[in-house]
Amino acid sequence: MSVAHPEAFRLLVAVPLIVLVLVLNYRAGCKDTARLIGSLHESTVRNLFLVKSFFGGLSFTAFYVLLVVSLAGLSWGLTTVREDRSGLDVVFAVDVSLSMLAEDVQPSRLARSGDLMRAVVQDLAGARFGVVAFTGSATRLLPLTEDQAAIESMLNLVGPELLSTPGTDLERALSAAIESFPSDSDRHRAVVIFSDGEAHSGDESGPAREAAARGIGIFTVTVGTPEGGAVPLLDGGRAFDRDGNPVHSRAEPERLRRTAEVAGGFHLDASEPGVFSRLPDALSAFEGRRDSEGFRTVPVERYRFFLGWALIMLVVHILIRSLRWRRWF
Amino acid sequence: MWVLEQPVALLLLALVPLVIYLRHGAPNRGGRLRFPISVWGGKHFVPRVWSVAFLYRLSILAFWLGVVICIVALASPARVYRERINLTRGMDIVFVLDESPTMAAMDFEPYNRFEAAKRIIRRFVRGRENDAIGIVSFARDAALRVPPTVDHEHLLEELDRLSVMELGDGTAIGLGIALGALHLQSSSAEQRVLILLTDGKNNVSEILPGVAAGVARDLGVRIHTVGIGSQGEIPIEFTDPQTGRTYRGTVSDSYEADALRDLANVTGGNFFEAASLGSLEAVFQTLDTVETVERRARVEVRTESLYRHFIVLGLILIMFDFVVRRMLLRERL
Repeated sequence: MSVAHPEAFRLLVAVPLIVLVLVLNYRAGCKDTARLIGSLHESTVRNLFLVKSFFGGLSFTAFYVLLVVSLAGLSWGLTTVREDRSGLDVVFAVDVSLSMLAEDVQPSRLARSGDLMRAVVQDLAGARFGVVAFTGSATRLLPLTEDQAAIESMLNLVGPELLSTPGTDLERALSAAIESFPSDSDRHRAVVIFSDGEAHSGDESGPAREAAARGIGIFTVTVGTPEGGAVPLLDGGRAFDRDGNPVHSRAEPERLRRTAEVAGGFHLDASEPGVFSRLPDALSAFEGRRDSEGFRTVPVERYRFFLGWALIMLVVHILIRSLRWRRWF
Repeated sequence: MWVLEQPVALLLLALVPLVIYLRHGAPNRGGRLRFPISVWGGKHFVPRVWSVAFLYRLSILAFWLGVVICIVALASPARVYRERINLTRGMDIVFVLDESPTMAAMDFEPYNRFEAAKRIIRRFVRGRENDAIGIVSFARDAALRVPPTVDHEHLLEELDRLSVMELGDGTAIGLGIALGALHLQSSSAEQRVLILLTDGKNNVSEILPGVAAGVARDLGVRIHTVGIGSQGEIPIEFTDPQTGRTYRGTVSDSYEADALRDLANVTGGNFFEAASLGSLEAVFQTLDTVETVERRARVEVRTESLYRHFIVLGLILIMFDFVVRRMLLRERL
């Protein structure tokens, strides 16, 4: 079971408020009925009022909760969609912020990413490649091409001097990478993100879901160690913060891992052994699996189930109030 | 286009009037206490504050509108996109574009040769959706501007950025062809084509055009050559991108028709001459018809579900009603 929009659950904080309003309404209602009816029939009227208030409130609260759950987009089970694609398009999105110069992986995070990309390009003959560089902004360096010479020279060029915007924005990176795929191509599509995961802005879950819906796989590679390393500057010096301490950058794989999961890809750590064969293998498996089956599995969205019950609860709420139940009971 | 994926759910709308009747119209409906408030034969009780009555009606309207919207959401509203998916591999085309200073000659009214070439290439690219197209430009030196790609949006952006004399003064036709051929080397397309546009003679001898054409032929690349420019003294004006200085004068230099024809013949391509904007257009129309590959495509339907927008709107409307009646108007049940 997966939740497409977990942020919708934040709406549940309103449940206690709704209950509070209903309880206050009930207590004020008791006083009002006492005033109107007098003490003669008070106990019967009050019982009726209690029962109606209780079930009415319960059904309304249930309506609200069910609607929020429906909004969260729960899905379980799998269904298949036909997908006649063959061949592979890969767009590399490379973080070129200064922290990628840290040398906690050898020779440096960026150089390691370059080596990994070369390994992929070498292993996947016949694939087309594109390159997007990003920091706080993202730019398309190389459009999707088969041209090995152009790919090679572009990979040698990727470095922090390309973009001067500070920060790391995975959302823009992912959007730019997704836009790199032509819409009329019949090939499988995969994005590979190289970053230390120290994202400062942007919410990448939107484009990640879009990618998932369009069948674009997202593979993420964390480059860097949790222990981290000092951030050098372009001129060979070291970066210092406002207090004069050297800037230390640690890899944060969590967001990258989540992004890959959303779009049915893998997350890899650039420091783990065998990564140079695992990344190309993962990509060719992504291509091969779908090729042989001719379809792709997607989770089944179950919002209608919850929405349906929410509507039933709302009708129950209305009927509890509007029907004179005492005629039958 | 908008569709409902589960239109059956809309049948629930038929039940809405019934529930509205039970809630607002049925005699003897519950949830209210009836008591006499007017004296016999006197006037009825009317709420005096019009805004309260207005708010009450508004909240009722919002509530039922919210219910209807939720029912529509249950019918799975979605937007449908139709995308054409190409099933065949198009050809690879690389333009080898002269950007020597003489390309700024003004004999392609109202543009100079270079701008005219850019415009015509742009139009050509628009009509070749399925083909990977790249650009190499040359003057004294040659550079890959765009590798062969089907990402035509990117290609056209880069094409716009080109200007004369960024690669120095000179006409290295051989270098341009060699570089173009190099970038077609790893192409998997069956048809690979170079289109050379130049207005001068080769005057850089690092790689001779004939040798480069031989390399291209061995790689299976066809070269079409287009000689640009008219005879005679042509006014010229350009700005050196390095110094920012503007030069004016006239040129009478021209391309060598025989040399260009040979280049084309060696590789199985054609030689064209374009002395005006109209003739350049005609050349590209010919190229467009000469270079064709079979093309098959299928239409893929992609749906984007919109139910969340409907649920959000429904939720807002119904909660508005809740707040108004339960909190502002202090309704008790």
